[in-house]
Amino acid sequence: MPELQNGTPPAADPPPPPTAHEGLEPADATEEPPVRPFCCECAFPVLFATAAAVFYVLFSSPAIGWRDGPEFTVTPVYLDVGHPSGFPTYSLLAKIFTWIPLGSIGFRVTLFTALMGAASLFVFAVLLKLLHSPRGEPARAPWLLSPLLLFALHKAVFASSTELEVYSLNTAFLLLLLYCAARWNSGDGIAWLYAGGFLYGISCGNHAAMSLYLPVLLILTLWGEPASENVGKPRRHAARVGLLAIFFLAGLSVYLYLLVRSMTDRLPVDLGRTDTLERFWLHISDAKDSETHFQGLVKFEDVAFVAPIQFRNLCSPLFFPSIPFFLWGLRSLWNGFRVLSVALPLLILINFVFFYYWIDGSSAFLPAIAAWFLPVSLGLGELGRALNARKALKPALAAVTAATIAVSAFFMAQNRISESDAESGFQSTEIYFPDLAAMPPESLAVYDNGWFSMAALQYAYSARPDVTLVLQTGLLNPAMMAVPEPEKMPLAYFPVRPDGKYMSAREPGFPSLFFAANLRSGRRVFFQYGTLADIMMPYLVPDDRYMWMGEMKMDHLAGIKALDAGLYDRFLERSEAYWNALASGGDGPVAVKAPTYMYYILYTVLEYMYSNGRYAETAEYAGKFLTAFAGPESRAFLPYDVLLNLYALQTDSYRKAGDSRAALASVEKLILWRPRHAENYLMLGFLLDEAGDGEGALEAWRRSAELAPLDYRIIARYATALAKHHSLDESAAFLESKQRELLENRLYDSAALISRQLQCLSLPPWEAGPYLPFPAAGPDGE
Amino acid sequence: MIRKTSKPPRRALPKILGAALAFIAFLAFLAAFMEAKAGRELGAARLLASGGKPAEASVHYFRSLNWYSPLGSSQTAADELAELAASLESRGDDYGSYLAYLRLRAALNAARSFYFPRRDLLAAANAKIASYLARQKLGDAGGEDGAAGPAALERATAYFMAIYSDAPKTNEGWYLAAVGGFIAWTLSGALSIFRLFAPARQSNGLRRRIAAARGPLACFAAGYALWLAGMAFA
Repeated sequence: MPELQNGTPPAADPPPPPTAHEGLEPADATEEPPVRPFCCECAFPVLFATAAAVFYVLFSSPAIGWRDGPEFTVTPVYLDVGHPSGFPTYSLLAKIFTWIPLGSIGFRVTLFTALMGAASLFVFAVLLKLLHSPRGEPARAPWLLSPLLLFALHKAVFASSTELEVYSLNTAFLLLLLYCAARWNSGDGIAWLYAGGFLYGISCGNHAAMSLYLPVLLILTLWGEPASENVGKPRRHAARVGLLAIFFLAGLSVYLYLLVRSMTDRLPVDLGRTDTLERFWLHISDAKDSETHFQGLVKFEDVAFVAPIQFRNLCSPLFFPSIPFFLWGLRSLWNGFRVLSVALPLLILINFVFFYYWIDGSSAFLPAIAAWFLPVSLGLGELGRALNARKALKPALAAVTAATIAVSAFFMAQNRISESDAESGFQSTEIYFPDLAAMPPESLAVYDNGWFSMAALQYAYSARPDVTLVLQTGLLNPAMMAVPEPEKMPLAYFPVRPDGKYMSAREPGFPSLFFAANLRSGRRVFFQYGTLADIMMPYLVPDDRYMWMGEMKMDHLAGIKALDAGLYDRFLERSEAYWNALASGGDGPVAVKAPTYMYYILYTVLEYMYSNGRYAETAEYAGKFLTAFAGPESRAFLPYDVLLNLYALQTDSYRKAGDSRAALASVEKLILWRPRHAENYLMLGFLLDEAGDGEGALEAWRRSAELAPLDYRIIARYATALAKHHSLDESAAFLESKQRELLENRLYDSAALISRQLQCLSLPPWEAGPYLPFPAAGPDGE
Repeated sequence: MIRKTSKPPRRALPKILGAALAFIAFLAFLAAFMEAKAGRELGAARLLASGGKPAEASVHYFRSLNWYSPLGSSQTAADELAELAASLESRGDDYGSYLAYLRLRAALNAARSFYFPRRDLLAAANAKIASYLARQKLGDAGGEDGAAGPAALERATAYFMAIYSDAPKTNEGWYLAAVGGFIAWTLSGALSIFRLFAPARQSNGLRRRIAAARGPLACFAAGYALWLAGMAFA
């Protein structure tokens, strides 16, 4: 470490090559850099961040939130281990807020998120002032207000600051890192570089995705040295990088949290069992869940479609007006902080490449959004400076500021910011609380998708301490998932074998052992997956003896497909056999219900019947399920795809069974039950089209498109019918108007599909064939 | 010799006072905001309760309690939710009463900090919940006239009461150590870096630099140890 051992000052080295930065700073490298009066610099950022904190708090989720929110409520309370990569930095910092004696624990932790959102705005403002500084004239509040308002009210920034998540802290860390880099680059001392390295390590403990930005950090380190720090010798460069690595690792050691906490074996929530080095590595590297958690890199053939959407999301709806300011800002950076002018676009690129699939997941693009807004803000600042320089143009500056405030208000309206959004934070408590309350005494509750919410109710609210909660999350347990090649998922989360290794989901006996282990306690088991299951199960399991199928889903599917006759009865027998086998391990389950995955099983059963030419039977059972899902008594929520495919399947089965009247009657009955359901008219259209009533079909599909104006499948079907029965021009005009509507509503995937349909209009539409649930032909060769 | 920079005049006290005032102002804003929310939910709950919709009313009482503050509408909501549960019980709606008590219990638990709010109501709710669960557990055999008899019911109630009276097990002291240690080692780590590599000390040797950063380095080590200990024992 020559830098520490060698007392020779850097000035003794050969003079460094001049940089653009030198033209704006004193050329004498040995001269002490001017001390920045930090407190004076902070007055405006503090005021703005305080106002933002108040604003974010007003719209914060009041309870445990939704999606990962419930998990992030519980993990700080007991310093638990969250889903990969564990989020130790978040848990440790959010823990402080769980002690605030106001509100529920869920609200307190959301408060932390809101304050971190405000903190990121503070750092953003301070960084902006710093980036303005090379021009000699200090940045003034009116220049900063406009870009800060736009950034604070950007949809992604607002959402991440008002919902319980780790992203606002992540943004604060990222901006702080850029601030450290800018201070180092502007010659304020190498301490800023090392502090940045230390901070980078800690920030990786908040969200592992920060590690993806390592190339940006390396560029800032290796190319960002100011003239005063230019050491010129490779050895000293190496020493600098070595020291940086040491400080980075010191920060990264926050991950010891996972090992130590998991080893205590006292955690209510431990989503990694990270008490061995192997599992520790699997957890922090996201190795066992990467296929579902991380959806892979960009596919080059899709770049032309995805990239424009991603760019527009950076500053939607003002992306195009922001481009000149972005370029102006980059030019300004090039003159003062050259390395940042390269690093920021690289950061955007990395963010886009790695989160390619998350087109609508705006929080995933917060780093890119921040990196876009920085140059844009600088560009706006340059405009402010230019207007301020001439007295005659000062009113124009006021007008620009006022316009930006108006645009920010538009942002707010566009984001549909309202109090009711904040109220949605009660969703988890109000949906899952009745479930938990209804469980029999001393139940064992096995949950998958709703587990996080249940965990929050159990461990933050302590709602039912007599009920034991068992985790089976879809994300963490490949056995639970409809993955096409589960053997590629190396490990399952649950259970852990006696030798301490994870048990493979494909290992024989995995489900049985799991159940036996839990039932041996003699306690009753309660598996709950919502109203859908209540309706479904009487069709699958006799009496009231519900059986939970998700765990054995793969076994069942394998078994079902091997059957050649008596499918449905054998299916029931098999369920009963499982039930009996499991019950022998203890008192047995008394109220076991089905997961939402059940419809996949059901659908596979029907598909099997259909593909074996048992059309009448398929139609009959599809009708039963449709009654259950869509009947007047139904409280079920069914995914649209499933419902539509069931309709299609039933109709097609009736049609192939030669009973088109029954099919028509079935759909008309559904329309009576659910007159405002677009899919009912969709199927009516199919039937009428089949019967040769083209205009009737068109009318049915028109009605369907009215009821579901943004559903691309209905749009596509109506457009096809228009092309067939009216004219191609009419169809194209309809598609173009819908494409615009979809884009306005940010339904980019649907818009793309419509775009493809538009391209296909040059083909005769009847060549595309009708919409059918199963593309594969049945045994009758149709 | 380490070059000593001239210290600015001491202005720590006004800064500390300013920060404390800002924190108090923020807490006051929070309390006012939450009181407004709690009051609105309480109003909705009263409206529903008077409209003969106790189940819906209990949801809004629960919401009001989620905006808990030691003084204000949430306290009234707690009392009224307990009254609602009692009235449901007197009307023979056992499950409705149980659900209302369960909501009361959950909301009070979620409002815990270093203390437990409204222990009086919590104890009453726990007793009612335990009694209901005991009856559920014994099923047809429970109750005064059941095959198991009142003694079995009493035992089962006591069993559930023990479970429900057991407060969530937390060791806040060690949690405090873990969090405090973490804050200490991160802040002192950053401070150590600035001391070790301050531009004014560029010409100093390693020993002098370490001497200058002795305090923060010691704080870093102590914080790290405290952090590990806190995590291990919490």
